[in-house]
Amino acid sequence: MTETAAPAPKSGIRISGAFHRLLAFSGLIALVVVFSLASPNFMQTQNILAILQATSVNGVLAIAATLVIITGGIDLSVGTLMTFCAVIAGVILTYFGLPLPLGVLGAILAGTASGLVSGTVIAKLKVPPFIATLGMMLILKGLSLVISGTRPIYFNDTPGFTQISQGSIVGALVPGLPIPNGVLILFAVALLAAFVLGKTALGRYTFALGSNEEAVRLSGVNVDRWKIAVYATAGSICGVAGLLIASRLNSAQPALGQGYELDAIAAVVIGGTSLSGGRGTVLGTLIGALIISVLANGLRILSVAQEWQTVVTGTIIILAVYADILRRRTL
Amino acid sequence: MRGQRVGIASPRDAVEKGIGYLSEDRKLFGLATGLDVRNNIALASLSRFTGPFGVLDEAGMARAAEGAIRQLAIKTPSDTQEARLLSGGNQQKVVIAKWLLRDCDILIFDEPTRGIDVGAKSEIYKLLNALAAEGKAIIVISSELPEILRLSHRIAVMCEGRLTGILPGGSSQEEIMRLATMREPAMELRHAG
Repeated sequence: MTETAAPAPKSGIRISGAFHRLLAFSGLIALVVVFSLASPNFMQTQNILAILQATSVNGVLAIAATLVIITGGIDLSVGTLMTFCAVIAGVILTYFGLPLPLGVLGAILAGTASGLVSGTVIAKLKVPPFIATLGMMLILKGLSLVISGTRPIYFNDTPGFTQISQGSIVGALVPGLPIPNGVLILFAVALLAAFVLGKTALGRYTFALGSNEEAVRLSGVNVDRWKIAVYATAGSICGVAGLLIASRLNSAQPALGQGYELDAIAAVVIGGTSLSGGRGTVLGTLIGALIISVLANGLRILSVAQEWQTVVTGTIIILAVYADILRRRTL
Repeated sequence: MRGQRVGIASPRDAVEKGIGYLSEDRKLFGLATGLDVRNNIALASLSRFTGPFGVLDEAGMARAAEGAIRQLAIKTPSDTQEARLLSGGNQQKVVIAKWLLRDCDILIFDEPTRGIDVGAKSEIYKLLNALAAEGKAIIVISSELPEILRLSHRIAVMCEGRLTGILPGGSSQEEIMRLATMREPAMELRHAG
C-alpha cells in the first residue's frame, strides 16, 4: 500500500499529501490512546476485531468514492448502490436459487452496470457528477424497494453466505487469529485499488482528469471513455460492499443504504483526498474510515450518547477539509 | 495534409492524425499542473506505455521523459518534479516534449512565448527552427510582429477571423499590417427601387 500516493510521489506532492496523511494517522493513534486510557475494554482483541469488521463496509464504499473523487467528481449513489447490489444478490440466490458464485458475480456486475450509467450520464450528457449521482442514488433506492417488494430478502437458503464477511479463513489457518473475512476483503479491495491507482493507465488517467481534464482532452485522450471506466470501477467496488453488508446481516435490507455515502465521503476527506481532485490515496481513505469507526466504538464504550458521534465526525470533516485548504495555500 | 484533404472532427482526431496543439494558456489547457513532468510528457502517449492488465511501463516512461529533458534542455531537478513548479519557458518545453513523444508531424503553437522571459524566448525560437529543420510543419500563431518576422517561412495574415493573405517570410511590417487591418467594406445602403 505504499504505492498509493499520486504518480511518482517523490517531490512536492508527497511532502504535503503525506503530511495530511500523517496528520490523519496521528489523529487515529491519538484517538486509540485516549480511548485505551479511558477504558480497559478498548484494546481487547475482540474489540479491535469488531472495529475492523465495522470498518469493512464503510471502508470499501469509501475506496469506491476515492476513485471518483480523485477525478474531481463525486458519487452520491454509493450507499443505495450497495443496497441495490445486495438486493440483486438476494434475487439471484434466494428468488432464483442459483449457486453462490453467480450471486457474487451478479452483485458486482450490477454495481458495474450502475457505474456505467452514472459515468455515461456524466461524460456524455455532461450532467454534473453531484446531480447525476444524486439522481442515481434515488433511482437505485427506488429500484431496490421495487424489486424486493419493500421486504428484506433473507439468505437462509444459501448456506455459507454469511461466511463471506463473518467467516474467518485466517482463523481456520491460524488459530488464535480470528480475523473476519470482511476485514480481509477490505484489505484486498484496498490493495487492488491502490495498485490500479498507482500502476495502471486507468489510475494515471484518474489523477490526470482530476488535475486538468481539458489538458487531457486536448492531448488526444478519450476522456469520456476513461471517466466512464472510473465510475464503472467504483460501481463494482460498491457491489462488493453490498455483498459484505448482506452477508453481515444475512439479508438484503432494501430500505438501508442512504446515508452511507456521507460516511464514505467523510472517510475520504478525513484521509486527505482533496474534493477538487487530482490527488488522493487509498491509505488515507482507510485511515479516515478507521478514525470514524474508532470514534464510534470508543464513544460507545465510554457510554457517550450516540448522538455525539455525528457531532464529532462532522467537526473532524470540517477540520480535515480546512487542513487541505491550508495545504493548497502553501503551494 | 500530405497532399490530401483531411477533415478533423475533434482534438482526439487531430492528435491521431499527427497534429499537436500548444494552447495559449498553458496552465489551463496544456499542462496537468497536479502531475509531475514525467506524466505530463507521457500524457498523449500513455497507450504506448500500457502493458497487459493496463499496467504502465513506468521505467519506459522515465526513460522517455529523461530523454526529452535532455533533448529540449528542460530545467527541472528531475522528471518527478511537479510540473507547476517549473518556469513558464520550461513548462512550454514540457508540452512540446509531450507532442514530440507522440511523433506529431504538425505542431501548432499558439502564442508560444507569451509570458516567457527573454532568455527562454530565444531558446524556444531555436527549438522551433530545429523542429522545422527536422521536417515538421510548424504553425505559429502570434501577435508579436518581431517574432513572426524572425521565424516565418510564410506568413498567413488574418483580420477579424478571415484570412486576408499569405506573404513570404521577410515581408515588410507595412505589408503585414496592411493585411492585418483589411476590414470588410461597410455595408452599402441599398435604395428602394
